[in-house]
Amino acid sequence: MEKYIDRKYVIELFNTYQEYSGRVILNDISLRIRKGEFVSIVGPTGCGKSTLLRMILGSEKPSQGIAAMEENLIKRPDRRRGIVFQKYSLFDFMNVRDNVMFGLELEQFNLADNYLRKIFPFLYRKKVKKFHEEADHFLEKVGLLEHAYKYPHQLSGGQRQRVAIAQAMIMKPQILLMDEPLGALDVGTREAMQIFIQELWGQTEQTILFITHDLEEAIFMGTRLIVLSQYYKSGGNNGSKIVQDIKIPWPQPRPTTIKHTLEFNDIMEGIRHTGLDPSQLHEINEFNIQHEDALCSVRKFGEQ
Amino acid sequence: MFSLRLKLKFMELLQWLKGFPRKTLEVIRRLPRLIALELVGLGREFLEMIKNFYRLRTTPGKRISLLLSLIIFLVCIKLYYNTSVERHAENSQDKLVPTGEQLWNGFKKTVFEVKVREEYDANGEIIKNDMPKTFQEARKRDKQTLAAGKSGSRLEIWKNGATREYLKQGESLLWQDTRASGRRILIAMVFIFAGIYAGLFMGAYPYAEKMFYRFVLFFDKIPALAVLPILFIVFGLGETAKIALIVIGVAPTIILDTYLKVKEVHDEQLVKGMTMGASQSEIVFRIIFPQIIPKVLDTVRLNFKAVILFLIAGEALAAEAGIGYRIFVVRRYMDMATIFPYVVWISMLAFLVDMGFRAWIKKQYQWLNK
Repeated sequence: MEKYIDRKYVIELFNTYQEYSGRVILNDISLRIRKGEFVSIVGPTGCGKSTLLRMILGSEKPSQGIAAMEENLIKRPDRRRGIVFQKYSLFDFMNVRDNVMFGLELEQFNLADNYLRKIFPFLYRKKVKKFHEEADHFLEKVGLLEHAYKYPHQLSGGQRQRVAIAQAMIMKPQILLMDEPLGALDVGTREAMQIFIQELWGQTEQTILFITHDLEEAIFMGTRLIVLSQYYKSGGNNGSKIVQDIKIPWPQPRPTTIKHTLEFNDIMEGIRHTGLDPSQLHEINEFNIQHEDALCSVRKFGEQ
Repeated sequence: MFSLRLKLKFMELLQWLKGFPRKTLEVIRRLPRLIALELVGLGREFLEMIKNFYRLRTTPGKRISLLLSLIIFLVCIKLYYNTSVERHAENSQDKLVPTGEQLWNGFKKTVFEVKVREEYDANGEIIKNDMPKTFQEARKRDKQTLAAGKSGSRLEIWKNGATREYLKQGESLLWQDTRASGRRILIAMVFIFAGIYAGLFMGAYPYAEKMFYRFVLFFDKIPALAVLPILFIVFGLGETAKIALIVIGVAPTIILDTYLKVKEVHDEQLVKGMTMGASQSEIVFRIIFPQIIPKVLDTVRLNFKAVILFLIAGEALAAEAGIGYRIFVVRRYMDMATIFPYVVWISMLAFLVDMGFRAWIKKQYQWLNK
């Protein structure tokens, strides 16, 4: 197994299984994620996308196999992996700016500092000012500087997700995980946010793992697309496998017009046919795993 | 900054005072018209009420709402008055349903009259002193000295006159009782607030939960009043037993409620905190605690009624002073004229505490106002 470990990969999963009380959710997932890549993961409902993300995040342990980050096993969530959830990412009891600078505070102040700060604010003025500047910088990046003193419940859904992204980005994590961050937004806001996240990725060159249930979004956003599905031959209750792992050809950032091109539609139709259609997939036993970083589970499947 | 705001407020007040006489005159001139308009509005709302009385989802008007909310109060007062008049017609010494005058006298006796401290000599007889016995007497003496012109100014009399001496002697009955009860409630509240922290730890740390949850759940089911005799035997008849009764009665509810509120916090928030580098205790005190505290304070507010209930139960059995104690003592003489002011007073105090809590929560936790 050691031969796969390589410095250029941030996240490595080897033959991981996840089962809840006997029911298999993920079946033999092997995955390597290169530094600086924008990976989008797509799959039908209940295929275990979020389970995979939680395994990488560390809030769940795989029942078998290895999940590692930079040659170390992932044990619990820590500050090297940032996360943006679909909901509940923000802390309701703080305003937007405090939410964004909360991570810095947690990192540099301990609990005693937090209480001392309320009694002797002048002792911490310099540091807090630095935090404010940094938070304002990130808020400007996500275009919400004028809403800095609002509370999360006063913002719209798209604004809230942007704050959540700023909140995660300010910690400068090595990989940013997004669990359907745009799932609850309307179409217009969603498209704007897609472009915004792409631009942000272009600026920071951060590794991003983007989970979605929308195929169009997945193809449009990522440089690498992974399709996770339980509908393959001899699948069904045996848990999900990676059924597609391909490179998306267009350079980033992409104009929205490519969504309507013939090539884009071809890729989408192809994936829908071979990756996501339950009626078709029961006959499919050869997976489309072409990406250079993919581990060869094709051969493994053939052996079965 | 603060002084500027104060100055602005002052200027506003000055402007308002300047316009006050003119505005008053204007209102007086327009008063008949205003009253007529109000009456017409009331009539319209009354007709609307008759039309929509059994309808869901209607909005009653302002005037009729006020009137309707007053009706039951007025009916109760009228019924009481009638009963009182009837009983007094039969027996003019009736104590059970006191008239307005009797009530007022009782109110004066408990609220305004100072309970003078008496000193006894070795034979158990009262040492006579020259102190005034009532407030009026003291005032009279002060006026006499002022008229005689013995000691200079009013200020000096205010400083060490007979009234002052009299007030220094003691406090009124109501004030003594309120202070004794208040002290018990305050001490009990300290323990109840400690219960919030117990609930927080129980909800946040699974091992603490396994250890304490079942126990607290069982402890909560023990009727506190049933343990009261045990408390009096164990702790004696002093303050400890009464405070323990309040704490045993109310703290488990607060602990369990806090526990449930902690369980309601979404797991995403904890994970998010961990990805932002929070330590375990920082997650508890900086992420969970600020989210639950306003809701828990609301529970404490609603449980204040139970606090008073247990307080009165404890005081009724054995005490030297206290609101509950006084009510149960004067019950022996059927002194309704004292009981009524006490009941009103304690209800009012509870209401004020409740209002204070509500105002504090509203002001301090603005993020709750969704």
